[in-house]
Order: sequence, then C-alpha cells, then structure tokens
Amino acid sequence: MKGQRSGPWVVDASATSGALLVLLMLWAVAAPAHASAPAAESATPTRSMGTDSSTQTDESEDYFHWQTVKDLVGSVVAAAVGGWREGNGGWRGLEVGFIRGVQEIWVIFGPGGKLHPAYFLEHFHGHIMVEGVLLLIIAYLFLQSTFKPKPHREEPLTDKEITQLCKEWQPEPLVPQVPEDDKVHSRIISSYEDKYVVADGKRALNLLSHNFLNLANTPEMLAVASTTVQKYGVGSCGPRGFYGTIDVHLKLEEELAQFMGTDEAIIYSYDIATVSSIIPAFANRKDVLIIDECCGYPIQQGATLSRAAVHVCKHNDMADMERIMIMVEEEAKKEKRPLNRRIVIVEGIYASNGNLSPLDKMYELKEKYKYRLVVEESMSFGVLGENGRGAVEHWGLKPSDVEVVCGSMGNALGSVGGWCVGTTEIVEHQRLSGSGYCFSASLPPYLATSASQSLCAMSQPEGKARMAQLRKNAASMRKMLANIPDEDIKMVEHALNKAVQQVIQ
Amino acid sequence: MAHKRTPSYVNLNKNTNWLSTPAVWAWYLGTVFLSWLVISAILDDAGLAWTYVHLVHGVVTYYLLHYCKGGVEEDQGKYDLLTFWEQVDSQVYGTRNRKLFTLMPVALFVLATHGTDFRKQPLGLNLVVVLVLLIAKLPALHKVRFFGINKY
Repeated sequence: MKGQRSGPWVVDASATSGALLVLLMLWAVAAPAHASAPAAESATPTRSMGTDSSTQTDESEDYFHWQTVKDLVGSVVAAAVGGWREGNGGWRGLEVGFIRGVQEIWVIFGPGGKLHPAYFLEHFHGHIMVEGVLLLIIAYLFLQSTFKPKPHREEPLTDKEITQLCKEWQPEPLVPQVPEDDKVHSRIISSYEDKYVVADGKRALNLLSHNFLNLANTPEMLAVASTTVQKYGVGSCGPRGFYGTIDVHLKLEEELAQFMGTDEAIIYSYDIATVSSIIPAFANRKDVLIIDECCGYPIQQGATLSRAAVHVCKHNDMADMERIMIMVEEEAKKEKRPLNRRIVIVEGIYASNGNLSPLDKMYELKEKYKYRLVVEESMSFGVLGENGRGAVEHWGLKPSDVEVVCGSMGNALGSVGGWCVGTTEIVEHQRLSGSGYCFSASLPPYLATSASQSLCAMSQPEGKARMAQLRKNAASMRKMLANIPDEDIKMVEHALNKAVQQVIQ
Repeated sequence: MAHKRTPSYVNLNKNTNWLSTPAVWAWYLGTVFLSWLVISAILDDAGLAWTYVHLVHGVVTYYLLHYCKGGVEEDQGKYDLLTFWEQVDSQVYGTRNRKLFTLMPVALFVLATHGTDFRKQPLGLNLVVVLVLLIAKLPALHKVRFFGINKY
C-alpha cells in the first residue's frame, strides 16, 4: 500500500512537520489583542465581513503594492537602527538594535499586524477565499475516481494465445498410471478373532491397529454399543450446540475428568480435529508456538491455522528449546511488543517414531520461561503411567502442571473421537472457540458409551493387568528387535516373525 | 474480441463491510443532522450548534476511525493492528465510503465557520480539528503510527 514505510525516518519527518503545522495554525488563528477597529465597528449581529466596502477598497489598493512591502521593510530597519543608537553603538548597540528589529517584525507578523492571516481574513473577504478553496477541495475529492488496486489487474488473453493454449492442451487420463512399485497389494481380511486376523485365508497376528489394550470389540463393549444403538439410534444428528448434546456425552466427559483428575473434560467427534481445534482456540497472530519437529500432522495443521509464529525445535532437544525461548524473549524485548501467549506443544509418545518426550525437563523449562504446555497423549493414554493416565503421570507431574492434555479415543480406548482435559477455564473456552467442537456433529452416542465402558475397564484391576501385559510385550519386542541388522527386509521379516512367536508364547 | 476476466472484489472483513450495506450513509448523515437539531435546540443558537456538531463529530470519528483497532470478528487477530479507517474497503483508497468520511469534516467545518460570527466560535479549534482529521485520512499515513502510540 502507498505510504507503507518502516523505520524512524517517517516518524521524525512527520513529527517535525506536524509540530510546525500546529504552530502555524496557532499563529494563524491567534486573535489580535486590540481587535482591529474598522472591522469591530462594522460588525453586524451575524456577519462581520462584507459590509465595509468603503474602507476596504482603499486598503486593497495599498496592500499588494510594492510600496507596502518597502514601508514594512523600512519600518523594521528603522527600528533596528534606532535600537543601535539607543545602545550607543558597539556590542550593546547591536544587541538592542537586534531586539528592536525583532519586536518590529512581531508587530507586523504577530496578531493585529498587517501581515498576520487574521488581517487578511478580516479585510479582504479572506474567509470567502478560504471557503472557496475548501469547496474546491470538496469538489476535487468528490470527482476523483476510485483507485483500483493494480496488482489484481490482468492482461486479457488474445485470440492467438487462446488458440495456442488450446492446441497445446493434452487431456490427463482419468486414472493416472501408477508405477508397479507404488501399487498396494491389499490382503483381504475375512475376520477378526481377538488379537488375530484371518487374512487371505491365513491366520495372522494383528499388528495393524492401535488397539493397545485390546479393549476394542470386547464382548462387554459390543453389548454396551448394541444397547446404546437400540436406545438412541446411530447418529446424534447435530453439533453440540444445537440439539446434539446427549447425556452419554456429558457422562463420558465427567468420567474422563474424574479419571484424569482435572476439573473438566471435553469431547471431540473426530480424532485429528482435536488438537487442530485446540491450538487455534488458544493462539492467534500475536502468539508464539514451539513445536517439536516430530509432531504429527494434526499438530502442524493446528499451528498453521492459529496463524501464530511457529518455532520448530529439534526432536527432544531441551537445549534447542531453551535457545528458542531465549531468542523469542529477546526479540519481544527489542520490539517492545506487548505480552503475548507462548505455548509449547509436544506429544507424550510420538506417533512417528515411538519416542517419549522428556516432560519432566520440559516442565522445568516452561516454568522458567513462563510458557504453557500442551501434551498430546493419543499414543500414551492407557499406555504410560501407573493408572494409564499417560505421559504426564509417567513423568511424575500433577494434572495441574500441564495446561492442556488432549488425545484420541481411537487407540487405547478403542472408540472414536478425541478428548481434552484441563481446568474449567480451558475446557469452557473450547466449547465456544474449538472449531471441531462447535461446527461438527457430535460423537455418535454408541461410541461415547463404548468409550465409557473402556474407561471403566481401565480403572479396574482387569484393566491394570492389561496395561502391565502391554508394557511387558513392548519391552520384550524392543529387546528382540534391538539386535536386527536393518539391511535385508526379508531377514527382518523373518526375525520379526520369530520374535512375535516368542512374545505370544 | 479479447477474453476479459472480471476480477471479483469481495470484502470479507466483517469489521467494515457493513459500510457497504444500503442506508448506512443515510444513517450517518441523519445522525449528524439530528445531533445538530438537538444541540441547536439546547443552545438556542443554530449557527453555533454547527461548531459543536463539528467538534463532537471530530472527536468521535477520530476515536472510532483512527484509534479503534481490530474488530469483533474471530479471525485469529488478522486485523488487530489496523485501525478501522485502514481496514475500510479492503485497504483500498479513493472509494466512495472513504470520500464520504473525508468530506464530512470539511463540510462540517464550512458549516461551522459560516454558521456564526468569527469571534463567537473557536475558529482555531475548528481548524485544528478539521486538519487533524484530514491528515489522519491521507493514504500516505496508511499504517503509520507516530511515537509508537497505538501501535499494538
């Protein structure tokens, strides 16, 4: 846009000229101390100009004469010379002469003087000229055409160019050619049996799903889901704010909040919309986000949508995170920006590489630099922690130490959707600002009851046993996979099969 | 015949696109006129009332147009650094709405100065107000902040 400059230059120039302008205006409108006699005499109740034509014609003849200028200059010089004589010559004379000269200039230019704008206004229909100028300005602005923003203007295509483009155009095939390597050879799964699948007629261990605690599709859950479908039907038919809130949603939210030990919880109907809605709800253009480089797609999307300044820190590298925090603080101090929100976003267990994030060190860092922490516990809920509460519990932090904890219900809970727990403020804010909450249909009731059922199962000794078994399996798997050289895929496959056989036995 | 593509200028900024709805101008002009009527009834002086209208209009429009930033819309703070005047009409200058807002102080100034005797009204104050408002609306001062005032 025109006039969009930066730096101190413009400010200084404008400030000086602005100050000069103000002084000019004050000078121009200063009322003369001895309100000029001729004008005062002829003042009418409503108008003070335009009636004393007799005095005006005489003066107007004189005003624009060289004689007037000579007279004025002469009077200044005379005053200066008189002053010099007063001071008896020498330095004192110069001093007094200078003062007298300046005083005479002020008499001419100051309020009441001949060259003061008020004199002009009062004696020569000056106000009419000013108003005329203003009317001309009004007319000019009125008749000025609208500027069109130039970047948007495009050159229209000529006929020749159109013909050329049409000749060159080749239709793309509806179904593009896929190279043989990229083709997916799917296996047909005919049935699920607990932790096995029957694929292409062969029975195989199911390592496809994230059913960590094997709670999905248990007979209890299926029974609960079936009853719910009988009672409520399948869909919820609306977003949470418009007749889509059902008592099973509220029950699940209460149970989650109680399980995690926080004030409240909120449910989202789509797993990856959870963290993508939470981040824009708490961050905007002015804010700063620090995300780990291995954070997954939903977190990246949320960061983009929030329009905040995103800094990516090296994977699990606390020194790098501290460096970024220091850099942000310095920049903010330098630009004297007002205080903004600063948030660190990590995952409990990273979905891309299975690493844990060091939440204990991260907690110290965020407390030191006054950041808020968001932990995404999709992979770690039901997996880490004494009671399956996730990475926060695993690292010994209290629920109140982490501002926002969220995750998906599609992994350990064996349902669909997402959840978020926190203080009342955090959760209630999301009810109006969480896009995925406000603008999507709510979770189908049978999925909510299934999740409730899983949560219940997790809290019981049976659930604890499942978690213990999961941890044991994970540990043995890691031990056995640790020694595999990763050159040959076939060798790895073979070793994997062997390892898995050992695990299930 | 050359193929012309008509670009569309849709103003999605909910903070300011209400200015293009019908009767907004009439509402604005009507408010100013009504306030003149009320003030002239209170003061019993129609001419001097224009001065008051001019001054009050100046202060109010300066605050609303050149001091208030951002707006009511939930837009991740997209316009939080732009004053209302800068946001109007997708930041394009020379549009009708802009001309109306630029001309109003000038027109009120002419009415105020013409309305009553020069000595009865604070001519200097009227002039200062109209000049400040005109300068604030210049395209050259788009996104310019003096001394860091009102920057954030």
